[in-house]
Formats: sequence, C-alpha cells, structure tokens
Amino acid sequence: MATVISRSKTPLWAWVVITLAAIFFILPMLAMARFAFQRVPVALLGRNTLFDRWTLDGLVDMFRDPDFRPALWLSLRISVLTVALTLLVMLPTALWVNVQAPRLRSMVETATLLPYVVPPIALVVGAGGAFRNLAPWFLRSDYCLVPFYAVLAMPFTFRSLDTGLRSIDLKTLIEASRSLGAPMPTTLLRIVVPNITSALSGTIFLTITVVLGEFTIASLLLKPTLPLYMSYSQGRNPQGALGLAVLLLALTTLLFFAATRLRRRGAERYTIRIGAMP
Amino acid sequence: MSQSKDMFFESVTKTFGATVALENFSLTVRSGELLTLLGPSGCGKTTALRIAAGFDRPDAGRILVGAIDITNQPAHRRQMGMVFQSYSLFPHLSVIDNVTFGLRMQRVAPNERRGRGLRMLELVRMDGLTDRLPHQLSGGQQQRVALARALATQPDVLLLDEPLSALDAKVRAEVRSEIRALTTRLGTTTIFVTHDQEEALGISDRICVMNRGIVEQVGSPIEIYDHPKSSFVAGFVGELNRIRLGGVDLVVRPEQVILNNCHTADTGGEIVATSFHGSFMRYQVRLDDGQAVTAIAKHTPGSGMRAGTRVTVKIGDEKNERPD
Repeated sequence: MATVISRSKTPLWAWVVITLAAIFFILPMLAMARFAFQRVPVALLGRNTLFDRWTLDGLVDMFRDPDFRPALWLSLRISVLTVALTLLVMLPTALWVNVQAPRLRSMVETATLLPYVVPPIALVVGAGGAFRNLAPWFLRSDYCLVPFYAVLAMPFTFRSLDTGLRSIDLKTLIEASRSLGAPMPTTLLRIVVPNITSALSGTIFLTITVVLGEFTIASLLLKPTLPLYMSYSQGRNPQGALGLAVLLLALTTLLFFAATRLRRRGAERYTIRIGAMP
Repeated sequence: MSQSKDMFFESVTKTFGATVALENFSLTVRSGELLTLLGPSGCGKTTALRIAAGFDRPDAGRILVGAIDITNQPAHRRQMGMVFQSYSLFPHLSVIDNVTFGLRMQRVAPNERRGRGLRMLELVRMDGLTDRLPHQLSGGQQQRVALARALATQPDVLLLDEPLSALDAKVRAEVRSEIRALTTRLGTTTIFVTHDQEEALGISDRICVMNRGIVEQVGSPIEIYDHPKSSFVAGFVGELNRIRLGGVDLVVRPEQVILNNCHTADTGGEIVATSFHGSFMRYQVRLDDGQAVTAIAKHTPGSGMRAGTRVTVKIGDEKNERPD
C-alpha cells in the first residue's frame, strides 16, 4: 500500500506575486549593498558604475573599531540569555495553558499581547522608575535588557509555542509517558520537546530577531548593544554601518533558509519511508 | 512475569466542581482477571480508571494494589500500563523505541530492552514492523503496539480506556480478541473501560456496571445479562422490552419474544419494521393495543417475515420477572 504525498503545483499567478514582492524587498537591499560596498560617490551610483570599485573597506574599518566587538558580544550574550529566559518562562506557560487550563488561553493570549499595547518607552519609564527605587543595581547591569526583551518577544514566542503544542495530542502523550514511568522533567525532555522542534526553533529565531533589532529600550537604558552601535556609528562610518546591516540581513536570511531546509528534509525522509511501504 | 495483584478501590469519591464523578466507589479487581467498567458516558468509569492510573487524585477514599496504598503515589511511580482511546504512540519514536520506552525508564540494559520489546511485539504480531514510525501504521496496528508498550514493563495492572473506539468494526473485533488472548496468557490484572455493552459482554471475566458515579452491579457477563439487579442494568446491558401483557408488567429481552405468522387476526400485532443482521433478524412489532415490542429471531433461509405481516406474540422461557 504505497501512499504518496504529492506536492501541489504552484500556479503562475502565485509566482508573479512572489516575484513582485521579492523585487520590492530585494531592490532596496541591493541599493544598500552598493552604497555599503562600493567606493563610488552616491551621486554616481548608476548603471554605468555597477561593477566599479567594490570593496569591504567600510566593513573592515568597522570590525577594527574597538567599540564594535563589545557591542556584538553584548548582543549575542543578551540573545542567548533572552532565549533561555523565554523558554524557561514561556514553555511552562504554554504547557500549563494546554494541559491544565485551556479555558484561560484567551486570557493568557491577551496578556502576551500587552507589549504591543504598551509602548517600549512607557515600559522603560515605568519599570525604570520602579527599579531605581527598589533595586538600583538591576538597571546598572547590561543584562537588565534580558527581561525587557523576553517581554517584547512574548507575542511571537507564546504563539509559536502554543501552535506547536496544539498540533500534538499533548495530554495523551504526557499521560502515556508518565504511565510508562517517566517523571515530568523526563517526559518534557524526551517526549514533548522532540515533537515541537519546529515551534521551538521558531521561538528561538523570533527571540534572536527581536534582540538584534531592538533600539528604543537599549537606547533609553544606555546599553551599548549592536543596534545602538550601528545607529551611532552611522555618522562616523556610514558605509560600515550599512555594510553590517546588509551582513546581518544576509545572515538571518541564511539561518531562516537553513531552518526550513532542515525541516523539509525531515519531511522528505517521512515521504520516502511511506513510499517504500509494501 | 511479575506476580499479578489484586487491586482495590475503597470508598473513592471524586467531584469536578458541582459534578459528582464517583461517589463512595468500592470495587475489587481480582488478580489476573479482566474486569470491565461499563456505563454510559459521564458514569464515572473513566474517572475511576484515571484515578487508578494516578492522573486524577480522589477527594476521599483509597486505592490499593496488593497490600500497598498507592493513593498518593504519582503516576510515574505506579506500576500501571495504560492504553488510551486516542492514538498515543510517541510520534518521533519507532515502534520498537515506543515499546521499550518504559523499560528504558526502568534503566533496563539496551540489549535486554530490545529483546523484551521484540518479544512483546511478537505477541501482538507486530514484530515485522519494528522500525516504522507510528504514522506509518494503521489504527489497529497502532493500538496493538500501544498494548505491547503498556505490557512491556510487566505492570501490576493494565488499564484500557476505550482502546477500540477509534477502530472500525472488523479491526475492533480483531484487536478485542487479541487483548483478551494476551491478558489471559500473561495473567495480567486488567481494567477495561467501555460504554459498549456488547464489547463488555464479549471480553470480560466480570463486569462492573456503573451509573452516575455509583456501582449498579458487579458480576460475570452472564449474571449481569440474565439477572440484572436493577432496571438500569437491565436496560443498559442488552436490549429490553417493557410491556404489559394480560395485566402483568413484563421485562423481556428481544430474543425471548417469539413471533408466529398468523392469519387469524386475534391476539398479537403487526410487524412495522424489519432489519437483517446476517445471523439474526430484528423485528419491530406494534401490538394491537398500541405497545411496541422488539423481537430478535435467528435467521434461517426462508424464515424471514416482512413488514405488514400479522403475528402472534409469545414470551419464551421463564425469565420474565421484573427487576427492582
């Protein structure tokens, strides 16, 4: 009994839309890339100069800047910590909503949307005021950004995890695992997590994206993160700053494609196995 | 095989908000027997099973396995194997990894684990598909693997929560006899939950009929069927006619109603509907005084009667006392 999953053909009009959208997004990036990597006065950046004087000097200058590496390093550390904090808080929350309290889902969903409603400036001024009195050491630390960013990412992270958990028969899987002698932590690690890997990687990517793109809070709290550094160095080294922006874009795009490719390869393995069924 | 044990529910009460799911529920499940909890949905049978498994805590009462009180033991410390209504195999693990998961939790060495897993899979005739992933199996195959998985750890008690309800009729009968054969062979104490009385009658050593959180009757399938202790049991297990004939109230099983073709239209009624079930024929009869009666007759070639036929209605054998 051979079951074949056929991938439906994409119609022509879809390709037209995709192409138009791609042009809309890619053209500005190409323009950015030319500005960043060509030693040609902006006024002369036309069709004739397309292949003239490409160089990485701006970027190299930026990498040599003593402020750059600490900024990058800080943002990476904050990314890792924010991902950790997010998983630590949001995964149990999403699990709790799905297993124990499905009736509270809409309430929790609304709560996770709050970062959309509360402007970052209000968040910082409010939290800043509170912490300055209660725990002044907190705002002095660079890592004080971590909880802010976890909160900012919440609308994305909760939804991603919730969708992943809803796509599996969570309650039965947990109970099956427990009845087979697995305590709750083992059940989470060995049974739940492997079945929501795509939701988890989505959560991680979205969190990193938020951290690498956030400006307002870091600026208000005077933390030298990468986005802040890029913004400030635009005056000193505009080519380098834009070069870095292009590089970051390319990097996240690559990561994104890598993640989808991995996922698709997993799906293909299933398809082949099904096809080989007697 | 581990020594199978008796299991006791002692005055277990469980409420969910205002709903009483179990009220002072006491039951002994004997070592090695297959006992069915039978009742309509909401009767508390699933709650009893979940309390046995440790997924729900009772408000009052105790659960014992052998002499050990397990009321407050968490689910993963209990020696219970469970098969669920919905497919519950771990989607990311192969058949053999699913079956050996419990052994892995018990820290059984890999070689021994695999050997025992394969033996279990042989018992459910799934040893040819050890490396498949669950989504590559049919529903019946998945439930057989789930059964093997639940039994691989040699549990004190096997809990089956309507494991056949997602399967189609033919596979259901197959897996049902497989469950029976396997639990008999391994001597595993088994609690089987179902709302299907036919399933219960066919598979059980004993049946506990439940209604609204209380035990209506416990007994062998034949006892329950032939000597129901309450009209609820009589009505729920098997079919029942409640009729008044000659000034007497009668409670009669359809197979005890004997219909005879008759042309003189004196006593009796008329067949209003028939349905053919292969080995038997089922008749809906309207008596002349307006009462409705269902009759079942064994089918032999040429024995069928059509709707519209006039019949006399007789009640066969002695069993027409009214319970209650």
